[in-house]
Parts: sequence; structure tokens; C-alpha cells
Amino acid sequence: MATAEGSIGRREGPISRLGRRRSLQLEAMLPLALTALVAALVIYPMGMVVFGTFWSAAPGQPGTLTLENWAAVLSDSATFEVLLYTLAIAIPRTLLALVLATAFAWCIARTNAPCKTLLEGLLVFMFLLPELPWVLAWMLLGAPNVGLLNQWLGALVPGGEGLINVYSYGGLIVLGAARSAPVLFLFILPALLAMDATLEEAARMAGASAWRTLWRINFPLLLPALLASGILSFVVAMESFEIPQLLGTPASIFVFTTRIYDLAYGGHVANFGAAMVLALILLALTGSLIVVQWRLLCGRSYTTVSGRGFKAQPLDLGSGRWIAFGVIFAFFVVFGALPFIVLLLNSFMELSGFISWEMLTTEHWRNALGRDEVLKSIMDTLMVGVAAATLGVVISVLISYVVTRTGWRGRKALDLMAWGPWAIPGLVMSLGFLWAFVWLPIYGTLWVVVLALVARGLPVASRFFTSTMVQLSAELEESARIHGGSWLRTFLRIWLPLLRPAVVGAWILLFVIAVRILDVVVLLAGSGVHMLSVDIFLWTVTGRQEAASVLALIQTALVVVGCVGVRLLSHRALQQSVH
Amino acid sequence: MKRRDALSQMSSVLGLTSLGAAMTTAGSSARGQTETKQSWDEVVAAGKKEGHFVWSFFGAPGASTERHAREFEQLYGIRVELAPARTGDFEARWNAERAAGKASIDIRSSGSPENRRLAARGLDQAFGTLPAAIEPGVPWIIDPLVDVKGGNGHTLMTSAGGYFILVNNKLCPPGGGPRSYKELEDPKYKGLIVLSEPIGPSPGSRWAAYVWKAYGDDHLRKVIDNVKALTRAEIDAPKQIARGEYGIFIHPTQVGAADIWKLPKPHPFRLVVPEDGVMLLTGGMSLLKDAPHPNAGRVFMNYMLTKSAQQISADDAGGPFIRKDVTPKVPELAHFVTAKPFPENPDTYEFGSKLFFEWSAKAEPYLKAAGLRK
Repeated sequence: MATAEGSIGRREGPISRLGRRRSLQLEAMLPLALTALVAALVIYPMGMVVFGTFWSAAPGQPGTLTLENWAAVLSDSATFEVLLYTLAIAIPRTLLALVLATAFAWCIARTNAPCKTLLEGLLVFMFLLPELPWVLAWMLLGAPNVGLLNQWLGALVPGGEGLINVYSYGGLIVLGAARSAPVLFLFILPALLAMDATLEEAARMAGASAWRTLWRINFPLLLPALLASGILSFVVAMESFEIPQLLGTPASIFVFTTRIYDLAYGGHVANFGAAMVLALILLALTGSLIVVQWRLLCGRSYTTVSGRGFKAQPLDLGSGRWIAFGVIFAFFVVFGALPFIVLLLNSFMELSGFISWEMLTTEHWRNALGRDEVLKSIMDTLMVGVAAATLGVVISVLISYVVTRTGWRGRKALDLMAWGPWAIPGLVMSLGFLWAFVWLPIYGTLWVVVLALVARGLPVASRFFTSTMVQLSAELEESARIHGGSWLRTFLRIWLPLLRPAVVGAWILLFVIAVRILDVVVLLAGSGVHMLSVDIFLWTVTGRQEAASVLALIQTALVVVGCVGVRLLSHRALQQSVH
Repeated sequence: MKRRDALSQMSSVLGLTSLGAAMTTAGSSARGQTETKQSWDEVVAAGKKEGHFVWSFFGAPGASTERHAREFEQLYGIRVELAPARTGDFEARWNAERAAGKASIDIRSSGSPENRRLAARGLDQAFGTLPAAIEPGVPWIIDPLVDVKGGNGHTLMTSAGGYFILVNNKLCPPGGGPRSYKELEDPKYKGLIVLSEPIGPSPGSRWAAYVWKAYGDDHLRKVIDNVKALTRAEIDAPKQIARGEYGIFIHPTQVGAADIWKLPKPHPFRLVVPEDGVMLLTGGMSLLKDAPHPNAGRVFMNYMLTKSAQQISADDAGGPFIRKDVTPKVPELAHFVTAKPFPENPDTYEFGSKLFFEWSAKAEPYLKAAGLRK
């Protein structure tokens, strides 16, 4: 804030005509250049997916144009049955995750709950835990009768060993929501932090109760962030794969993604065409949600950060502040600490899931750290993560700027394009990336992986910036321009400082996604590229979960170090700019 | 480091000895064989000139794959690039690369059904004469050239394994069975069985197809009616049996179940070699069409049949191997070498392919009728 406000009134000296012309050119060219770039990264691979639905073989293979894939999928009653089951899981999962994330973010951003930094850190840490080992840890904790939690409950309460069953609809919904809530928390928190507390105070002074203030003031102002998060969470729930594959199948619960997997990978002959038709049906569903989002937000103002400055006064919860702390902390203990401890213990056990003194060993750690392949995986993963996050943030900021702050005609199309890669399940989108990028000379190098990860991360990062940008008043920019600031200078001196928390948050999100993501990497990484996520996956599915636990912990350490490092750098930069 | 060097040296000697033995035996008989040796030397020289090759295999890089790669590199100076991948991932990547004229993978090894599917589509290529495959006197479990000799493509069999029934001792005490696949239809096993989902190329499909063929519809329906849960995590199911989550698992391979033999004895589970016979699984290796390093690939295929390479496979607990003259790390898991095979086992190219497709058409209705699939 200090930097932004300080820069507004400062005289910039004479601006040369040449500089002004260049700035105008840049401003005019930006939307077009961005659209071309996003089209290359998103539309081209998605086009390959669409083409695949009308082709009798995999793209690139000899075949003919056909409608057979569409006819087969749409005439199969299983398609719609599975769709209903998927919705029956995704909707409650999304609502539960959204309620939890909003409540957590509100407690941390707007109340006087104690130890807020600690709580925020714990939720961020949960987001960093890799999914596959997390699900496997829950299979050990929540298996009926023999799961560790059930055994503990059985020792406490007669019949308690049957209380938890992760192989059920309830298990899929609760564990899915627990997995999504920390991500949504990261989305909603910046919006709540940016909200002007004087609005709340005004409502309270006018006699509104705390609940009425929450409902009439906070909720409407949060609508962009809530809608963006809700849609994101819904899409994540619809395309979730590991949880239904491992926990749903034993209970005969099949969802859209397990159906796609069956078609693409589960049969004697891969049926990529039909899998892609299913993916496009999913795209149509989630794409329509974007339209709903636009309609809901159209013509309304959500500006809460203006040139006047604002103050954030926390709400006094009284004795309830410790209850708020307890609830968030308990959430972390159950869904973060417990699986993490299982993961940690597994890495020191001769056999995953059999935790005892006689099974104790350091062999897996020695093996992992002594192998050149693992060290190469760590290096490649780090390089890809940093490059994808940095490039992704730059492109996403610019996309969000064009979408929210310009009147450019194609801005909605740009927004929709940026959303695309998230709306198609990773299993299928990765095929699109492969078929699109295999022709590039950089195929087989780290760079092709970076490009795909940037495309895959665009929806998350651009949603992140968009929901923050709509809260920023245009008067800040106008003021700078009136004082002679060029577009570029205004962008760098006004927008970026105001967006600093979002930039840091988005970078962390993209870095974590890049380090952890599997589907894109598994197909694009040539034999010379090693990624930790692929190693973890392969070691897990081939039964070497102890070794996979070691890698998962190394991966977690990498993202923790990356995230803490970026936060420290950002904090130092902020301090320097203040002084 | 010293230990690793010594091991490599020993392996090198073993590898060279077996290769040398093959050359010596072959060379002592006739001029034709001398020519074979000469032409093989040319293949090796060409492979060395190619310098490296890419080996794609189903699974993760593990102790044995890495040892194979290191020993091979030391023996021949040809670098091995490991490219582990599931079947679908391999096919997707390889197809795209071929379409772009950038095929990078030379060798694919997997369960033989996958290799046979490559062969059926003409996606493999002939690998010529491999000295180790025609070495006289080798006690093969299955002839590595069974498909080649039958004119069924170019799959080289490099490993063999066997399925069995895994039982939890507490939920199914040893006196009460089961002793055979047939017995699993008994209603006393209702709610005890976890079954590898018998759809697609899964171990469960192999079991279902063979017992359906051997015992008919009625038997299969009764067994499926006893099933408590289906699993797609076959690799985890043996641990679930050991923990007592389920009573009976149909049906693990010795590779998938090997880990639980690490548990302290007495084991809470037992391996049942079915009295009606063991179903056998072979591991295949294909030299891929458009392989950019075909000679290096051929040298590696030959190496994988040598006693040294096979012993590396057998050194993994439950590791599959195709020569009887190696020492398995867990002898109990090598039951398939001597056990009676289940009818129609090991499967022929024609029988296996046909049966799986026949079964696939029936699988879903069976599971739906039993309420195991919606």
C-alpha cells in the first residue's frame, strides 16, 4: 500500500513522446499478444482433444472422421448414471469445502482468533501434502475394522471399530472436502484481507447484528471470490481421480473420471476417443458454470480497495475466539497431521502400513538419498516448478488485468480460454498437450513440461488475480495516468504493489501445482526428464509405498522451502519499499 | 562403493561366462554357428556404435531394473535410459512420437498380453537370432521363443510367474480351506473375498476367464456372489489380507505379494497353491517398430535371458524369472516353477487373446448381477 500511495502523487518528470507512443502501442498490443499466447497454450491442445472425439484412432494415427465415439458415449446409459453419481459426490463435497474454507478464512482474516499466523501456516501446510500418499495414509487410518482410527475408537468405545469407513460415499465426500478446503482457503483469504472493515463498522453502527453484517456486507463483497472458488472446487471435485479410484472402487462407486480412466487405460485396447467425449461433456458442464458466474457478477461493483486507504479492524469473538482456534486446529490434526505422521512413520518401516519397532529401518531413506536418479528428480522438479510458477504468474496477471480492467472486446473469450485446461480432466488434457507439443523442437526437454504446466495453472492463477483485481478501484490507476504515468509505469508502480499478496499466493499455488502434478508430466517428460511426482506415483502403484513415502516427504520439503523462501523474499521486498 | 563394484564385477563375470558359454557351445559344432557368432558380434558392434537405447517397462524403476541397466552398461558400454510407464501412458506417448517422426523408445517390456497386442498390430519387429535364447541345455520354465516359433509376432518371453490364493489365517483358519479355485464357490466364503476387478487387462480378468472356461457360468456366479469388494489396487490387497481387512484375495502374483513376506513370523497369512493348478503369467519384451537403436535393443534382449540377468530378477523378493537355474530370494514364492499348471496354462497366443476378449464381453453383466457394479 505504501508504495502505491507514495507513487501516485510523485512527479515523474517530462515524458518523451516516443515513450508515450511505445506505452500506447504496448497497451494496445497486450490483449492481442496475450490471446495469441493463450490460444497456443490452451486452444491448440484442446483442439486436439476435440479432434480426437471425431477421429477413429488416436490423433496422428491412421484413421477416419467419425461420429462413432459420440454416438457410443451418448447412447450408453452408464454415461448418465455415472454423471449422476459424480454430481451426488461433487456437489456436497464442494459445499462442505466452501463452508469450511470460508469459515477458516473469515476467522483468520476478520476476527481476533488467537495464533492466526500459526493456523494459516497449518492450513497452507495441508495444501502442500501430496495427494496420492495422503489417500493411501487414509486407507490405513480409516479402513473399516482394521484402520488405525477404528482400532483406537474400538479401544475407547464398544463397537467403535466400525465407526469410520473411508470406502463409502461419506468417505469420498468428507475426504474430498478436506482435501479441497485448504486450497479454497488460499483463494478466499486474500479477498477477505482486502475487504474494507469500515463497511462492516458502518453496518454495525447502523444497528445490524454480526450475522446480518456477515450476510448483507461480507457475503456480497466476497461473492466474486466465493463464486470463483466454488466453481474451482466443483471442477476439482468432478475431475478428482485418486480418491474415487482408491476409495470408491472397493465400494462399487464409480465416477466420471474412473469411467474416463477405464476407457483410456483400463481396457484391452485404449479408447481415447470415447474418453475425450466424456471429457468434453465435463467441459460443457463447467463452462456453463463460468457463464453463470459472469451473469451473477455482471454490472455489480465489488470495489473495496480505493485511494482512500482502509483499515482492517478484527471482530471480537469473545470467548469464542478459542473455539475458532480449536476447530481449525482439530481440522489440521485430523486431516493434516495424522496422515502426515502415517506418511513419516511409513518411510521408516520395512513395510508400509505395518508400524512397529521390529519393522523400523532407515533403508528407504538411504536408498533414496544415495541414488543419482532421485537427486536428478529433485533438481528437475525444482527447475520446472520455479520456471512454471514464475512464467504462469506473469501471464496470469496480464490476463486478469485485460479481463477486469480493460474494455477490450475479446476479454470474455480470453477469460474463458484461460479457464479451459482446468475444466478438462487432467487424464485427457495431458493427451491434448502431448499431441500438440510433440511436434515442437523442445519436446523431450524440461521446457515442454514447463509450458504445459503454465497452461494447466492458468485457470487457478488467473481466477486468483481476477477475484482480487475486481476489488481494486479504478481511481488509483486513473490518478496515476492523470499525473502522467505511462500504462507500463502505472502497471508496475500501482498494480503490482497492490497485487503483491496475490502474486505471492499465486506463485506459491503454481509452484505447488507444478511440483506435485502428475498427469501432465507423466506423458510429456521424455526419458531424460525426471520428476518426483512421477517417481512417487510409479513407486506407489508398484507397491513400494515406503520408498514413495520418502519421496513424498522430500517433495513436501521442497514445496515448504519454496513457499517459505518466496514469502520471506516478498516480506523483505515489502520492508525495503516501506523504508 | 567397494561392495557395489565387487557385485558388478561378479555380475560381469557371470554375464560374460554365460554369454561365452553360449558362444563356445555354439562354435564347437558347425560353420553355420561360427557365422552366427560373427553376425552377432556385428550386432554388438553396431549396438555399441548406437551408444544407448530407451527401455520402457511397466512399473517403477526398482532394484532389479536399475541393476540390469548398470550391469548391461558395464558389460557393453551401451547406456540404458529407463522410461517406466503404464500401458496407456506408454502407448499414448509412443503413438504421438511416431506420428511426429520422433519415436524415442526401443524396447517395451510388460506382461505378455500387452506385448502380444503390440505384435498383433504389427508394432514390433524381428530381433534376429539371440545367442542366449538358443543356448543349449538351459532349463527354461517357458521357451522364450514360444511366440516367435509359432509365427505369432516377435514377443520374447523374459520372465514367468504364477498366481495363487492368499488367505488370512485368522479369518480363514488353515484347517478350513480354501485349497483350490473350485472351492471358492462355497457359501462359507461369502463376504470374505476381495477380488481384483475382473475387467480389462487385470489379474482378476485372467482368473475369471480361466475358471469360467474350466468350470462354467454357474461356478463363476457363485464365486462372484461371495465377493465382498473389488479392488483396483492389487498391489495393496496382500497387505489388506495381512492386516485382516479381508479373508481371501483372488488373485495375487508372487511379485505383488512379495512385500508381506517381510513381516515377522509367524505370518498372519498363508499362500495357497491351488490344487486345481496354478495360472501362469509370462513377461514379454518387444523390439519396437521404428526403434531408433535396434541393435542396442537386441543386445539388451539377449542380455536379459542370461543367467546373470535372470539372477538379478530372482534376487528381488518374488521377482519373476524364466530360467530354473537361478536361486529365488523367497523360495515359497517360486511355487509356480514346479506346481501343476491350471488347464490351458501357460496360455498360447491364440487361446489367451481369444479368451480374454470373450470374457471381457461378459464381465460387466456378471458384476452388475452380483451388485458389484452399478
